[in-house]
Amino acid sequence: MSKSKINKKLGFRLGFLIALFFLFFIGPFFLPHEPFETNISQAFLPPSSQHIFGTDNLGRCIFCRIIAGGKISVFTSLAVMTLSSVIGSILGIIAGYYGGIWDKIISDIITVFQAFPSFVLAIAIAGILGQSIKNAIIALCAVYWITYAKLSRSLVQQIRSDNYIKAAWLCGAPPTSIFFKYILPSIIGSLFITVVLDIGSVILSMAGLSFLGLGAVRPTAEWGAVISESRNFMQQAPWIIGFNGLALFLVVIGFNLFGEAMDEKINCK
Amino acid sequence: MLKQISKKVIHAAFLLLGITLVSFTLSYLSPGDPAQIQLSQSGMRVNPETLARMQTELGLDRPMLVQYLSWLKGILTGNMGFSYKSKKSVALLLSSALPNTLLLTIFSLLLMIIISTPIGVICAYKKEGIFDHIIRVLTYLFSSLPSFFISLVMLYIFALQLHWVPVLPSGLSGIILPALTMSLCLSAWYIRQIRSMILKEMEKKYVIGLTAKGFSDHTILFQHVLKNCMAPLITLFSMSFGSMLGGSAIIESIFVWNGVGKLAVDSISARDYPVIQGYVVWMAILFLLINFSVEILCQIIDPRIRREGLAK
Repeated sequence: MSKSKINKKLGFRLGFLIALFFLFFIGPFFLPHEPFETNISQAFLPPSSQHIFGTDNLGRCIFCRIIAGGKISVFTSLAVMTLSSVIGSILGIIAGYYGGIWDKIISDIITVFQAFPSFVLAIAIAGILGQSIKNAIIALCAVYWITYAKLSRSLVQQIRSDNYIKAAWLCGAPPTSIFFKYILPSIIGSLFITVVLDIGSVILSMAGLSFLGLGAVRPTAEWGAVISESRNFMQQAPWIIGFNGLALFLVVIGFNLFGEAMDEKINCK
Repeated sequence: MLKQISKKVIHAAFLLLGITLVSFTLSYLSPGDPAQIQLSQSGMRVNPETLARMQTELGLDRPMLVQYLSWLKGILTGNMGFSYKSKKSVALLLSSALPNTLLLTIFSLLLMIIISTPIGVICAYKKEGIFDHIIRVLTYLFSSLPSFFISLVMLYIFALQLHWVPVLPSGLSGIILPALTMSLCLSAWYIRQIRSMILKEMEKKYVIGLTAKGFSDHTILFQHVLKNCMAPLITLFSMSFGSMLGGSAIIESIFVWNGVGKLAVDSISARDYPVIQGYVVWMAILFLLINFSVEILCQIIDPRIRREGLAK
């Protein structure tokens, strides 16, 4: 594929993501209805011109709740990605650069964490710590840091013996400057692309935890939690689950397609 | 060979130690005091005296390392403690739920292989054709939807609208919907994996050699390329087994399938820590066993891996 075509694709997909961000971070200030206001007389209204996505069992506007809940899904997933990639990369870089005992200890920890089926570990951690968004973030970080630790470890091991790193070391550059000036810039691209490609799966895992009652607490409008609550009204009001699922789908596919385009762009060079 | 096996056994023992240590530490992270939870669940009044007695009874007043070692001894002898909620032994609860989960997982895995392998092969064979494009869109759709949403849609269509299956499962027929959901979610990813794996293999030099010798594309694909893709595919399948064990928690609780996943979710809402702990340890050990046996299986079916293993 030609370069300009890839750039166009990337721009279009980035635009879609930015539009979603605006919708979820600025949208809540311009909602037609209050997302948390209950009104039993308006319960279970199907989609209409007044409530375009209909209303739920407590008469709350579903459209407004989806917009209000988007922030939580996007924000928590970005938090998981940031935390786990930073922690994982630091550990991976230490293991890869210093080698020896550090590498042994960190690699052993990675091996042990990898022995758990990932979602099992997340459920157990979130379940034992108790229901809250913070605990769900901790649980997912415990699962996702492994990818970044492994990736950065192997990347650093590859470049450690390169001449420019040796030259910097021979010139007496302190480890921090070797790290920030030479190592980090050469591995950050690969790490970043992995982060972008993983965000979709983090959003899905986060929604999964919330669905199991291990994430957002009521009455927040987190999509996974809302879908779980609305299960009992599936026959009466299938639109509640439908529209919340659609919202999740749009955000996940937005990140997945953006990640794919980024990947293409980097590999095209 | 003996050296290789003993190395593997030592590695497995190390992993077991790590797994149990992480699982044990989990209960230390818990905000609740097990003695207090047990007392309040049995309906007794909690006062400092009964609490202290309970703590001694449960051995909670001992140092952490001692507690861990006695817990580890329990695991090795099959005693994983007792559920706070049902007072039954954790090992009993897990072992009665495990066959259901295994049945569901294996059934879904087989279904997934049946769905994704032919589709992936056709997509690679007729690359960039109409079928390939349609499947690409479908796989994007399914891999961007959460499994619980797909489950609920399936339940809505097949149980509530078409009445083909009962909402609450009865006997073995209840396995169809959860297994279909689980396999569809995974197939989306597999179809793409299989497609790209075959296309990558097709670029190798031996394929050019075979083409030059005048073999048809058909023969090359089915007699050579697919054979070479077997071992990496089986390794991927075994890894999926792990993600299926985790994913089964959501699917089992939606379709009310009485497996370990549902047991874990129910135990979490009851704050039944010993069961959660047992669940994590058992799942990790199961995952370990599967990976181990798949490694051996790959050595059997692929002579290249066997030689590599011996060379080490």
